[in-house]
Amino acid sequence: MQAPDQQLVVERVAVLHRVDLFAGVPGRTLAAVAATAEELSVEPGATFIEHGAVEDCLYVVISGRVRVHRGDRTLIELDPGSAVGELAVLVPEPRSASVTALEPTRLLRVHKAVLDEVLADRPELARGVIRSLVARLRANADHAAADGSPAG
Amino acid sequence: MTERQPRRAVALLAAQAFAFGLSESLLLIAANALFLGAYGSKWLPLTYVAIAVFGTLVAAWIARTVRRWPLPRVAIFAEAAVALLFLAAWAILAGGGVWVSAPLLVLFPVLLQIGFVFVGGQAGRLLDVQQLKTGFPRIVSGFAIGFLVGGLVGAPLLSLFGSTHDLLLVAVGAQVVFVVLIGLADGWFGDRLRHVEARPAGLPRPSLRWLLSTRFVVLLIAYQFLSAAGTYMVEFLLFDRASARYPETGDLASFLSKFTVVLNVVDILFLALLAGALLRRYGLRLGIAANPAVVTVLAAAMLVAVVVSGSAALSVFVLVAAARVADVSLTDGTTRTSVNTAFQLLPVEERVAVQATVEGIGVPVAIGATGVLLFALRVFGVPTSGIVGVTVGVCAVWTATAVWLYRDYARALAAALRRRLLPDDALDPQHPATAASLHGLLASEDGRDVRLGLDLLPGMWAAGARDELSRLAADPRPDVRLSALARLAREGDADARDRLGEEVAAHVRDPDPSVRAEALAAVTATDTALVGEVVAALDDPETAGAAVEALGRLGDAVLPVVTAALAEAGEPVPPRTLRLVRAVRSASPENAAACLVGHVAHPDRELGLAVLSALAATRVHAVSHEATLDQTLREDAEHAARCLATLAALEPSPVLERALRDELDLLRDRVLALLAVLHGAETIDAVALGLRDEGERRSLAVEMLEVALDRDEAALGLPVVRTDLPDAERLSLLKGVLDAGRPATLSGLVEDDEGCWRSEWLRACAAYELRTARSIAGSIGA
Repeated sequence: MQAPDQQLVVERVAVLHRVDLFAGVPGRTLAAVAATAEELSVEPGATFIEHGAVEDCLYVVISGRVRVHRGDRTLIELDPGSAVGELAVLVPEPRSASVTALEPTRLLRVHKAVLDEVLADRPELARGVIRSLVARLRANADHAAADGSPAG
Repeated sequence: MTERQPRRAVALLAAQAFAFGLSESLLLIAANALFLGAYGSKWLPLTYVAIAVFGTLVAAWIARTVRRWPLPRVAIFAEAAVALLFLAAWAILAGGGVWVSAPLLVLFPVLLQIGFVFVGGQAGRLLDVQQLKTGFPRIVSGFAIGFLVGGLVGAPLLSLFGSTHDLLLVAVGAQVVFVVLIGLADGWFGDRLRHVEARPAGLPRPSLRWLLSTRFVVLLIAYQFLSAAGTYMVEFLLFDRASARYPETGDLASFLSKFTVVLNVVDILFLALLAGALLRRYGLRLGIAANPAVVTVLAAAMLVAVVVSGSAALSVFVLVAAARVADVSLTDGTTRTSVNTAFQLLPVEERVAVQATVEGIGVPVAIGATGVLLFALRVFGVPTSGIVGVTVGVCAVWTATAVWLYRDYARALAAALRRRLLPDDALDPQHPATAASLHGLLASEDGRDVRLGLDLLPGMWAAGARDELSRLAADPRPDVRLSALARLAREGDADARDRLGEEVAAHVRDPDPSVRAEALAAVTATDTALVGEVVAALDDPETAGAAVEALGRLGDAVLPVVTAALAEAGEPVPPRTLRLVRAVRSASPENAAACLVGHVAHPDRELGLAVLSALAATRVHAVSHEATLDQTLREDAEHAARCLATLAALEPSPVLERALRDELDLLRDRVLALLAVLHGAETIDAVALGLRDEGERRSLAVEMLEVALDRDEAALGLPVVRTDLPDAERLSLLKGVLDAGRPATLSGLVEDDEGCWRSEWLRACAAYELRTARSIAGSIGA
């Protein structure tokens, strides 16, 4: 690790550790994920995930705030330390919703190939994936209950 | 349970034991005085036999009832019935019916056992193994104090009331308090005390008969039987020698009264000051063996004294009294706690039922048998030396049983830790709905469904699944074909085995990762020619897991590749090398050791962990590599001390703290893997799972380590693997055995001049923290 990058990697690992998905994975393993992740800055109102797009990456919110929505209907708003688009790194299929920044937002983009590499050796990440999916199911169920329709 | 709850439970149970001890003490005083006054001692052996019969019946009722009713309800019902019995006995005695003193005398030892079953049963559900070892002596001391108080207030109460039988009214009061306190425990801890019917995952409960036929429970019964027999033999000898030494009734009563006070005071002091600490330090080994061993030594000394100086010698009398004091103190201080702890290995739903049977039946039967034996010895005119000789024999067998029980405790503990909640054969293939679902999966268009169906199929083999498998073995989809052929080959189909070899070779490089993974899953020990292809599959995350499994089946054939990879491994070790080392699962122990042992102390601790895990999996002969393993354990313990000391001294930011905690977790995994090499992966893997648990399983895991590890291993290893303990306690334990634990400075962490940290990640985090601190200092300075 080069000295200037090292600081960045440590900061990124600290961000990744705040995400449920990565919380159980040791920092020394996440360092490789952080080193290959891309950092993006998104302006308010910019949509960085389009409903229906086929991609194989997830985003971690470093700072700012984002809205997950289908059309005008908001599904959830996410704060720093949240991951969005994690289903795409498990099964790359069309995105189920769009995601738009609500304020100036910094994101970390992590690609499927990197996560696959970690998943092959680290059961902690698999547990994180399960936790994340359960949270998603619960959120969907709560949302369906609030709408009066059965959860899918 | 919260941190305070075990203390609250111990206090409440000690209060219950106090009320119970007071009640028992007053019952004994009243029953003894009334019975001996009316009938003398000649009928005492008969009461022993009655105790055996009545005790067995009551214990059988309790064992049966606790399998249907919640424990608190059974305890309240039984102890309230005892209060009513005392009241009825008082009324009969007040009407002149002194005959009732005989059943009261019989009641005493029976109620003693039953009361301890109820108190111990509650303790077993409210405290884990570690808490029991420290808390149960305090609970028993409640009983001892209650018993002593009963003895002390007995005489003033007699003067106050004027009649012996009125003591029973006070005993009724104590019983009522006992019942109220059980009700209070039910109110406070009902969620833990009441679970009778609940069985995890709806599994059928093991039958009581099956449990009572298991070696561990049989040994417990034998131990308790011999313990009661030894105790009653010693008690008989005490009364025998005391009545010979003090022929006058008044002198005898005076001696017995003083002796009882000394006995109880020593008992209470032992319980309060020594018992818990001894059990903590020496564990159940001491708890189970100390009582029989000490009594045997004293009984043997008694025999020598009788032979040399005659049965009337003062030395004999002193030794008998000492044996009695030692027996009572050790029974209360170590034996009760150890036996109660041993019951924790049984399924929680069966614990009290078995305990009631073991203690409630074993002990009264032992008393009855001892009564018959003593009666027979007296009838045949056997002298005191002969009775002492028989006592030595009984105690020697008791000691041998204790040693056997302790050895079996370690085995039963490992079995309890490995006890699975999931049944091996959860699927009922005969059920029409199951068969229809499986058929649906196997007929699916989706290959993933078919493979799932094939995974579930072996359970249906008897139901004629061969046709289904033969059809799928000719399926156009290669992943389905591979899976079906693999299952047919596993069932001994030679043709399928030949075809499978060809299919595996053809598809191990298939462009479709799911086909590749299926081909890798079908690799068998004979496919050694495919080592190169399988090793190549390690590089693809989608097939890496299947490749590791496949290499694990190739035995020694994988070792040359591993040796070459290790020779080239730098720092940090590449993931491929780590996967290769993890794949060494079925190699011969000698060859695996030759390939791997030299890398246990590799600077990259992750590689060391993989090496240790592989050594454990291949069951290498640990004794041959003892020096290397001992040195590694010591170095890991030193590094853990270093991490803990640095955490305490630096009060680091969350980033560095997390990095240090990750390092401690890595050391925990390394030490567990090392212990698996020394003590077997099966046991230590179960321990590792238990340590991650928060409840009773963690306590059993710690107990297993305390039983399995030798003193040095325990001293170095336990503080490293017990991540549930506070940091300060872990560090203090490590500092107690190591000249280590000097904290690092941030710059020391970055520079790592002594090469003790050897972690790029820790260095990066420390450098980050150092830079952040300098930047803050710079901004303050500016």
